[in-house]
Amino acid sequence: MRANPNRASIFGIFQSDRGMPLPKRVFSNIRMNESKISGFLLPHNVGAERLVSLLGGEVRCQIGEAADFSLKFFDSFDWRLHAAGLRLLQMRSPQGAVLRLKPPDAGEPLDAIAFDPEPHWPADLPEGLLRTEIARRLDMRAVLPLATVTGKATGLAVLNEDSKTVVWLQLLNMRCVAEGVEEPRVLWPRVRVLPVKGYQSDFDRVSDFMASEMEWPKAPECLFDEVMAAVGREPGDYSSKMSVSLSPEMTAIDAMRRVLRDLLDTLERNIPGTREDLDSEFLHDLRVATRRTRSALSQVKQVLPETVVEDFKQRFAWLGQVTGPVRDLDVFLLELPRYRASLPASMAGDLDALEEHLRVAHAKEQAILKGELESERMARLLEDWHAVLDAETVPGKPAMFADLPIEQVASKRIWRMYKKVLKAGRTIDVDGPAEDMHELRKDCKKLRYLIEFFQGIYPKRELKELVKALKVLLDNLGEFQDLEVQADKLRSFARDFDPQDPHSMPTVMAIGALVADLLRHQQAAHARFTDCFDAFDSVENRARYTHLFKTVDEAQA
Amino acid sequence: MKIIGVYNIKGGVGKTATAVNVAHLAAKSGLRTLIWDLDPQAAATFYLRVKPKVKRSQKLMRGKSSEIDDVLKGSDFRNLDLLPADFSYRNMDLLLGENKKPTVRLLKLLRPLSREYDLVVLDCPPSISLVSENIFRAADALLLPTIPTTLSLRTMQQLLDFMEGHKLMTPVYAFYSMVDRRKRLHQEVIASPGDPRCSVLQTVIPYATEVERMGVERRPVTDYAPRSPAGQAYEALWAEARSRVGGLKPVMDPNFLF
Repeated sequence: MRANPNRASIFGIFQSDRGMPLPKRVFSNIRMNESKISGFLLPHNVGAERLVSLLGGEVRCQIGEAADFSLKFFDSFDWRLHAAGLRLLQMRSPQGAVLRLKPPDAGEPLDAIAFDPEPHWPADLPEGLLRTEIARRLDMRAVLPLATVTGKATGLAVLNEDSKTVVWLQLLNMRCVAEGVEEPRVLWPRVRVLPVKGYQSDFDRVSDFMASEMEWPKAPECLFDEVMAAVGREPGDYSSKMSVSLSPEMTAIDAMRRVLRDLLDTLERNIPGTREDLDSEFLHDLRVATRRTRSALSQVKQVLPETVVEDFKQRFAWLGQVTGPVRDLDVFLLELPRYRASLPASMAGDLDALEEHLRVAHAKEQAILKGELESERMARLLEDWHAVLDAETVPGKPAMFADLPIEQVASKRIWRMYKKVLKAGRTIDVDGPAEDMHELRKDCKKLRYLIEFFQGIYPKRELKELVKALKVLLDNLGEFQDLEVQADKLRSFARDFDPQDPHSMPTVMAIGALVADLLRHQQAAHARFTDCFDAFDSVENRARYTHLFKTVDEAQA
Repeated sequence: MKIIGVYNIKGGVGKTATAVNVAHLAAKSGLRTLIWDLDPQAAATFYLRVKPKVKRSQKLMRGKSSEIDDVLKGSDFRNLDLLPADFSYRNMDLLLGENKKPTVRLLKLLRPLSREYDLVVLDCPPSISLVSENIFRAADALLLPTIPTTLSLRTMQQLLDFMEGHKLMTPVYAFYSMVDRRKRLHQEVIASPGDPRCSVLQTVIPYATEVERMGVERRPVTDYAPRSPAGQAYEALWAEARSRVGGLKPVMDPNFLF
């Protein structure tokens, strides 16, 4: 059969004339022409010629053009799109790049747009369904590449007795790579069968032939699962929530090491993203892991050797300190849209200078933070901490409670902290010094961390209710404090602008309006405190704490 | 969706060749293109290797217009589909002008396709009748292949008179077809100022055996001989027609991969 190189390729994704601008939104108001496509997995090393000979006389086909393409999957670091049942991928061919958002098992995307740069922030995408859907899932997180598939698509035309094309075939040979995967992983080759309008029976015949005669397994609609498995990723393999599996009989020292090891893992996984400032959540999660580590060291007393506790408490305090300034600025930058919205429309623009100020400060602090994270001090901290947690036995003099069952130690600590919170909350003078409220918040946080560390040894259902009430109280106290801190910081920012300068005046005034608004909200949070605390101090909630954490010892005491 | 009618009162002027080659180039540029073979001779259907199923037309004639999707045929080219001649027989009233409102009927038949295609090319039957009038009304533009002879020019005048008489405002783009540069008459006609009522495109399609070979190849010239003078001429004609008609933007093929 005569080869026909000019026959229209079937990979004309968008065979546009050169220079002809592609439409921004591809699918708006477009119904797909073909909905039914079938695909089959082929034995390894099947190329176009081999495929033609495998199909033999039953399916006469002619090899057409081939085109290279690539396919990149994206999600946030903590798999928010995956959790929402969505897949984001960018497909690139010589004709251009398309970004598609689709449900896991469907051939048809929710939306697709022509988009060439690698996506990072939803805000950089053109307005439309795709952007809206992604943005509302991601919140402050950015999308990052998960894995890249590169491949060659070869078109084949199945011909009838008039040498008329009645079915299109597309042979895909692919391999995939991901960060940290050295050798590209070869995927199973596959053939896709695409119908030609008006030749449905031929499509059915070819599909049946492949399924029944050749016994080729059906290819999954989406490559996602296959690619993730090939590069060794498990969707959902990171979450900022703690979940350490513990059993009540475990010794306290083993349990603590497991908890701290889990926190170290979270901390380490967030370092690269923090260093590169991929999004603000990396630093946030890193800081939470640091705080939890410090809390675990200081709150669970007499389990780890005293020398270890003292040493690492200080060293993690340092990490908390050096990561503080960037986080503070992150908070302001994240809050900025809300700040603007809280001002009258005519004043919203007056915050531009503040934003600029924040960004400059952020860039400066980020550079310092990057230096600290890459420092010898940091490397040693991680190394030494690994040495403690990964060793057969913890170095240093064993502590008093190290070999007690964890349930006993945990319950005792939680119960004590609970009593402390209860006492402080009941006696606090609501209109007294703000410091007291802040102290209460710190204790509440410690209580929450303790419960989170050891959640694995308590019944889930009861714990859930209890954590809910604690969270409401914590949110209230947090709001009260954060708004005050923000108002204070904003005041100090205002001092950085020259009040004599007529250009700075509107900014200073806008900040003033903002501070007033924040303090009003803080007052409102303050007013809600009593209700929040009463809910925490309810009869049912008290019963839950007693039931879960009050030990025989305590009862006797 | 844009509709371009390829038309001439006279037959044998390269009308079907124009329709098929232009539609092929449009599809190649990424436009989802439908060519509708309205000519009872079914030449476009033949060129695209589709078997005319005249036998079934009796049964089909009882069908409804909503079944238009069932009779569409994919061609050998991505983005190019055909509405074969037998569909046109089925809607014989359309060809014969028996329907009370043929324009409405024509557009109504096309309406379900408006989201699937960017361009419809009508290969019109040669004649001037109620049918042609309605094709003129439905189309966004008419392409008028014209052999540069006195007789051909007369039929062009007839068409323009007809359109004027019926107050039809559809833009008409004439171009010279089957041109033999060696003939003095051809040269003279091309050089002469045309009728002010229609635009004459720059492109001239030469008389060429490559075009005649379409019947043997059963493919567009622009596919089997894209670099030939005729192939190049159709390329230029499409570029010119496309910019005149406007609003023809390619759309990505959503089914490429995954």
